[in-house]
Amino acid sequence: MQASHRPLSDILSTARPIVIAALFRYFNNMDDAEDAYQEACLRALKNWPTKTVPDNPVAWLVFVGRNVGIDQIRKTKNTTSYAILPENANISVDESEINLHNQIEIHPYHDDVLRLLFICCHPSISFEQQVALCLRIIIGMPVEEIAAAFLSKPASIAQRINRAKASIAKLAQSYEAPNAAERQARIAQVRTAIYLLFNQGYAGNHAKQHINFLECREAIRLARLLLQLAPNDTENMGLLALCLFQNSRHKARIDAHQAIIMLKDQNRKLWDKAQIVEALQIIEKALRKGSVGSFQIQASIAATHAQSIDEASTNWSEIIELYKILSQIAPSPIISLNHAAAVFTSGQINQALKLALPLKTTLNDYPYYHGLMAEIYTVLKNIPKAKNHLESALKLTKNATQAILIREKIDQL
Amino acid sequence: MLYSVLIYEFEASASLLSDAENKLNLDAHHHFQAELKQGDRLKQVVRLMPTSTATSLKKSTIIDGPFADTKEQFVGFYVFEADDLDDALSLIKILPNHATLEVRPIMYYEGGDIAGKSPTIIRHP
Repeated sequence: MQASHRPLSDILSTARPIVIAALFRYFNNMDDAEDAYQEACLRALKNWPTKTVPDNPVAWLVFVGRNVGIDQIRKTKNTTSYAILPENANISVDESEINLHNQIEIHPYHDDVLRLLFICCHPSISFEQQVALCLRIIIGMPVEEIAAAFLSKPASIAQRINRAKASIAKLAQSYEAPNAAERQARIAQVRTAIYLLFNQGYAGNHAKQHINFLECREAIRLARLLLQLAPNDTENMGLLALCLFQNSRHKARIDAHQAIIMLKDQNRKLWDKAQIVEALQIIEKALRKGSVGSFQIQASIAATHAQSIDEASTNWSEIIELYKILSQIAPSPIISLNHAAAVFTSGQINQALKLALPLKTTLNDYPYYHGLMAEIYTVLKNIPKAKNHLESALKLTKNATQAILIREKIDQL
Repeated sequence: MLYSVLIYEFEASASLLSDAENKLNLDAHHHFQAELKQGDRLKQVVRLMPTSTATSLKKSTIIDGPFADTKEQFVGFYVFEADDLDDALSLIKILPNHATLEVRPIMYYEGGDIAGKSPTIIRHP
């Protein structure tokens, strides 16, 4: 793998999920795995600029991280702790590089990251803890960013993560991989975690767009592995199709200043046809089985957009029908907002207002809610209300380019 | 003698390749194709869609996914003319080396004879 032309920070963040998961398999302890990863990164930052970047940075980081971790365990714990390490812990670096890929593949989950995701989604911890743990451990998201995503305080998120780690460590079965029945029960949570990872990359912070793009690809890789694990699970198909549809818009979605371009304004010629075609095939396969789920419906909505040459020719009545089903099987304020937006775009302004008004209680801190309300009131010629909502949106947005656009709209009213 | 080279890749990892890495792979394929086109040795180029789109039939029961749950997936193949196995093995050295390649002589071949015409162009996602 040619890695030398990529910036070091990129290489390290791309490698993180795989390295952390591999180290976790060696140490059976999240803190030890994280410490070892940090130390391996420090050594990489020290060594790689002066020498050459290794051909396989993942293997290098795993090898160095594992050695650092072994030393650390020897120093801080008594020597019997060494027994927790697998028998093959002393293989040489060359062997390690060659064998790494094979080792990842021969695992029952085919992949350490997927295995770690299943562990983080242990049913003994709450859903919020599972998500926080996945974001922190696997993606390496800073606690502050997780707190922002949860609309919570960093201290309480840190506490939540620590408690999750502690309860997982305490479990009797330790970190043993779940059996087939347990795996089935957890697969829905793992899907959600993978989709969160994808969204983190897709909807995330603009300053780190490039890194986020890599997160999207890692999520797609995991969605593929999950589908390989349970190839007849229609929701696994839905998840992969949804991620592919969204990712296909990547190049059309970011302007020259790294700001997000809304779907209606995107140059659809830039959409990646290969990903769209694959996703269409997958969703077709899923839907003919007739077992509907929220990922399949979201993918179907994305499929309708993917097959339309522009906003005007989009089959809005189909999209609205799909949103109706989605609000029944997986109700959420964001889905209701998207439903209302689809109804608005199809020209049913009063109906859209009726759907959007009750969302004030849940989405009052969400800039896109105010954006939609402003659009509705602008069409209804209620300028004072439109202006109020635009001002709320302006206060809430964290994106400079979006703020400029909102200010322009206020001036135009 | 007609040979096929069947290409197997760890499909999920392929999605992590950067654009530059993808371009290197694609260039290798183009190089291979250009090499074989000299002397009309290239007969067929097939790139399959990912196994996520596969449906299998086992004793006429429809099963989702590829036929075999292998660690690497069958992603495509070439049909080409080579003098013998040595020749075939030396020709495929140009192909990207991260993939597993299986060389199989062809017993019967019909249709899609593109010798002398413009052959199918491989398109990477």
